Amino acid sequence: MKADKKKRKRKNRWKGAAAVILTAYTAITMLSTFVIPNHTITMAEAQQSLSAQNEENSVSAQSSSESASTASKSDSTAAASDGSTSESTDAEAVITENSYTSDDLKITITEKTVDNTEVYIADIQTDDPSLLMAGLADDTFGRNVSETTSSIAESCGAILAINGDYYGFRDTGYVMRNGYLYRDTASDDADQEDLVIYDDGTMDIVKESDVTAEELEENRAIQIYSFGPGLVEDGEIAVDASDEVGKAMTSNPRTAIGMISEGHYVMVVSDGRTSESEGLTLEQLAGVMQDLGCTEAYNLDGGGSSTMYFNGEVVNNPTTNGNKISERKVSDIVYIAES
Amino acid sequence: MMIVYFLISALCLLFSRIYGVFSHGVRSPYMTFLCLFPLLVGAVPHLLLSVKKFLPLPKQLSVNLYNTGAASLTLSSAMRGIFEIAGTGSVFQIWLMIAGAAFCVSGVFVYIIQSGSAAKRTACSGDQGKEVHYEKKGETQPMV
Repeated sequence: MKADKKKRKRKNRWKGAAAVILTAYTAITMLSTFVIPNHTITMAEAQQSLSAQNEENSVSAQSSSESASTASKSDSTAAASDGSTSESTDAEAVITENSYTSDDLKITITEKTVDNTEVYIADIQTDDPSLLMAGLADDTFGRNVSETTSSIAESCGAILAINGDYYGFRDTGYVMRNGYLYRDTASDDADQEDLVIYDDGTMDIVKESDVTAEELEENRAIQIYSFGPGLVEDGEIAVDASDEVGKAMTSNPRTAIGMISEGHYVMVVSDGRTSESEGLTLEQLAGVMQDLGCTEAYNLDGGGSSTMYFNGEVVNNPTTNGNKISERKVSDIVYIAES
Repeated sequence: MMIVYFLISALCLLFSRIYGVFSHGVRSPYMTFLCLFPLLVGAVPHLLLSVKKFLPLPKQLSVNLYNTGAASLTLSSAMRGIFEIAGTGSVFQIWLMIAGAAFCVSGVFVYIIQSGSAAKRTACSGDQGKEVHYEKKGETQPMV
């Protein structure tokens, strides 16, 4: 009788300890995955280290006279273009409810209905591809560091912005922003496709299993987004209904970016998950991008993250937590600014 | 214990179906087949032990280790499903899955060792009734 009691006690003690440990472990895992921010490096620090690296490179280049003259020329060109850009922005930008026009930049926002879905299209034409930039929440790279698209856009002084790839929700996948390589760990998914934007403004879609982040950096990449998939490649639709696995396979709010030609881009956001706007499948979104004339187009983070910001206002109706219309916090944005 | 595992399997099935309703069409096999962990890892072995009467019943330590493993694997599968549907991942979840598998394996290992030594003792005494007496002393754990 006594032995039975003792045994039952011991059994309950094990059960209790296992339950407490598993509950605590689950709580820690969930919090670290979804809630606790882990700041790694600020954008300012990243840019500082990037310019220090560039300085080092230019010093070593100066040892050969030929390289030195090239470097000084490009420096003076950059300085000159910086000055002229800010001047022209202040002096000549014409802003309306759905357009922005300056010497270097023309943005037009249009809205149309496709497959029972409201689609917002930003057409961007610029001579200066460096106006297409990336912003991070809290100006910091790290896991679970997030802000709304409009809030990041405001702090960056953006004219136009869309949500990015929500890199901070994952531990793998290349992340390069404004020339700085924040993460060079390839995704476990061999089919992971990335969008690469080079310093001349051209876009390309690559597979992480085919190329390292360092190789892309050497090839003068300045932005790498790791979400996908690629929607249009060389003018052809690159997804079909059967490809829509993993991140989303049904009608949803979507965000995409594409290139029509050098200096001519489109950013597209669709509403979804509401009675007014059903949402698009990836195949439908690819069709929209192809119809716009994109040679390359890429799917960014969608769902509740899908947000377009223009001239201080959120243009679309982002859905967070089901059907509630409000902006979700995201890790990063793609934006256009003149400064 | 077998009934408990069947109940947990039913709860897991219900949980994965409800979660599926709110996952906007995104699926994960770890969530879809969540109920298979308590069913195959938990209920089936216990069912075998209760049906195959010639198998010796496991002792407390072996049961504790195995049940902890089954719980860890089920929890880990649920986490993996949630993470895959959200589009993220966590190294903590992978460690939990490894720990769960290790607990299950060690539970089986302890069971084999203990059954072996109990069989040896029975063979040495030459008395088949010894095992029954041994169980009656409360040193074995009834499973059902």
